[in-house]
Amino acid sequence: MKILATYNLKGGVGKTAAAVNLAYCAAQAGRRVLLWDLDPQAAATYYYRIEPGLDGGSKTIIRRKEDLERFIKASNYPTLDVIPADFSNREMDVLLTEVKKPGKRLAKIIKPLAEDYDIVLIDCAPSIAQVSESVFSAADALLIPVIPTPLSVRAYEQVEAFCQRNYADLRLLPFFSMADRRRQLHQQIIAEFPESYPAALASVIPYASVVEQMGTRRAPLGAYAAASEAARAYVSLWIEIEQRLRAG
Amino acid sequence: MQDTVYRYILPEAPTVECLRRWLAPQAGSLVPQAGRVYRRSYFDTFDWRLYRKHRVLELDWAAGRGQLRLHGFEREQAQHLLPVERMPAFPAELTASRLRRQLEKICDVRALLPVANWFHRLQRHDFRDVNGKTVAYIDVSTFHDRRDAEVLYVQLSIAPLRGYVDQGDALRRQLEPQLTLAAQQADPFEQLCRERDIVPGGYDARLILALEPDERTDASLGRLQLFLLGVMELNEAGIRDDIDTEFLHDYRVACRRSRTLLQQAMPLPDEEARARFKTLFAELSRVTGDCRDWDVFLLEFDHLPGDAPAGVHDELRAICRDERERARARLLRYLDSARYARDMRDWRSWLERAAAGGYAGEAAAMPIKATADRVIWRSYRGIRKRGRKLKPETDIEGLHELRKRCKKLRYGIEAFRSLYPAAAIDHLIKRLKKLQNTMGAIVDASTQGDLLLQLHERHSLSAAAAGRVQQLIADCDARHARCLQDFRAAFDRFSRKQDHAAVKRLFKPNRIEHADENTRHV
Ligand SMILES: Nc1ncnc2c1ncn2[C@@H]1O[C@H](COP(=O)(O)OP(=O)(O)OP(=O)(O)O)[C@@H](O)[C@H]1O
Ligand SMILES: [Mg+2]
Repeated sequence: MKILATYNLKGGVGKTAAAVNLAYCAAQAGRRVLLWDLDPQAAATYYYRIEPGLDGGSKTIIRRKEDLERFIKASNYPTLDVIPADFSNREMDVLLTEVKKPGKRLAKIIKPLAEDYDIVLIDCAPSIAQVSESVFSAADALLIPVIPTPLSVRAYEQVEAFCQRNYADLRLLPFFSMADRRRQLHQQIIAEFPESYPAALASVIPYASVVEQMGTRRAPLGAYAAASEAARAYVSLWIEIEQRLRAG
Repeated sequence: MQDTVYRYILPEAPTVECLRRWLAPQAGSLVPQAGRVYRRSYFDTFDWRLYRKHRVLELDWAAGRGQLRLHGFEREQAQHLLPVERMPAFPAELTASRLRRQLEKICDVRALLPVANWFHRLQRHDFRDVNGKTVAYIDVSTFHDRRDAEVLYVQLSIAPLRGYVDQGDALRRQLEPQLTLAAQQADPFEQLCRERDIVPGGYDARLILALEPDERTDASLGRLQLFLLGVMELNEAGIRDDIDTEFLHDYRVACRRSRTLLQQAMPLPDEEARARFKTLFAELSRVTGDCRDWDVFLLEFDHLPGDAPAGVHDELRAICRDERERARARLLRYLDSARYARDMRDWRSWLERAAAGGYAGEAAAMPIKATADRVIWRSYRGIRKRGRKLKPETDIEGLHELRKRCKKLRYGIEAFRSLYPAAAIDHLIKRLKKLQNTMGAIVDASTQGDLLLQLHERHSLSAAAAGRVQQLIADCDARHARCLQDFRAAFDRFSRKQDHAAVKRLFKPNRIEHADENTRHV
């Protein structure tokens, strides 16, 4: 089992779009996938038409009163399951500070599912301190969407610096998200980025209105616009991620 | 993770309209998905371990991908699913999953073999709630001999999705009373076996023939031996193809049972033939034994005590495989020889004659019960006499001999068990087993030590590997010494006075059996 998380300090960069679509791509490729929505906004949960809310709230999970297994909901797609968000995910930070070894907690909670899933993909809210750190230590890799603007790249650099200092083993897989090919600046940053960041993934997620339609369709792109450029970009992004994971 | 599914065999496939009508009172909608055709194959071990545990392992294969499913025979059943990209020979080669764990527990070291296959046309319907969330699959499956051939079997299943058990159950309660069920509610697997004239569970190496006490000895022995010969023949192909280690194991056990019965009970009237078949079985024991020893050693390899430097185990394992291949080649040469073919053919014809009660002489005409009494009693007495005097610390040969005799006693009791009260036999076998285990541990330690010694002497090992082997030999020696100490107590327990009296009552010839036989053991 590999644990992945979409993460960025910045909000609104396409983390949830990536989590939702990559989970779908992985499942379509035959992987057993669990998407865990940690964001109290419950966007990923919503896209998969699942009712948010966990019996007993997130404290039941964090305090390990019940196995994570009990909260799993199947999605509308084979081999893709979801742990819905709960509004009380806002309090996870506090809950985690109450437990012993908060850093290790998420990993410990997920571990009993090791035989059941090939991929656990966690969708994080932007920068929540203790939760992110717990995610960092549980994850094998962070998937980091970067909008091709100087500010976004700078935010990535901050994440990278932080992780290199504190989570040296954690693999960072940045990729461009919401890229607008008509914009000179986007083009230029996309061209230059790999030089400074050879670990960056080559697939670029374009800015596209079909992605926005996920909100009304309440489905991953592949389910209603499989042929679109954006959907294909997620597919090739997933293939790249798998290759990286396999390469070890 | 396991999910529950409800399954019904129907006389014909319901249409979407029909399903919609049946489900009309439920809020939500039924959305048919694109129909798909799979090649459906079923797997089991050669000795039907899954079937015997009431489990079915099926693979639905289409477009280079498969879905493996492990389930039971009941209408409501738990199922384990696993997507696969190829079907491996051994459960251990599957992706880590609950399905794999279950299979490993049931199949142990046996390989999975295809039993039969046909085509499965799946028409899936998603049942979606008012939010468009699928809460259950309603699957109509039809099974066909060929892709477009007529429908042989129709199954409807309701599979609530993970986390939607209540909604799925509501659907089931709505649907179930409206279904017209087919008269025959067998699992598609059983149906396919019927179509293909396959008898699930048909192979069974256990010797469980019912004998009549008054039957002629030659006839009973003929039947027993023919059964064992059948087991040997059935396992030959698997040995040749090297499918898993248990083909040789079953073959070898049948061979040794045969040998014991031949030595102890078979009233073969022709001395020359008798000598010839004794030689045959002695040789078979030897050629199969070499290969089996390495098989056992390799199976144990990952559980060897202590740690080894990296690479050492790979080096040793490769050498063991090599040794095993050589032993196997010798075995195959033997099985391929003209003499073996001739001996087996003649053995069969002698057995057929025996089974027909066609042997001459007094021994052949004796009632089997009298023969069995004599054989078991003599064998038992021999063990008691030798065991009491045996000092295994100084007489390891004597211990080996005693162990062989115990094995023979066990084979004798098992062959003739149908002639005696079951409870008494079970009790005796249980006691004998304990003694055999104690002696087995001693002998295994020394067999393993011998194999290790062979490794050491015959191969130029790296320094690290040689060190590891020496360490393992020392370990075997220590284990050997430790187990030796258990012998006396184990033997005394086996030959306790009250148990001895019971054995005497059971088998000692010319004694009338007592009616309190069954009430003795509490
Ligand atoms: N490639 C894209 N093209 C166009 N719109 C996109 C694209 N990716 C995401 N969006 C839209 O941008 C908005 C933010 O995206 P998303 O929710 O995926 O970001 P996020 O990083 O998860 O945000 P948050 O930090 O709030 O969790 C959403 O409305 C989404 O529909
Ligand atoms: Mg988000």
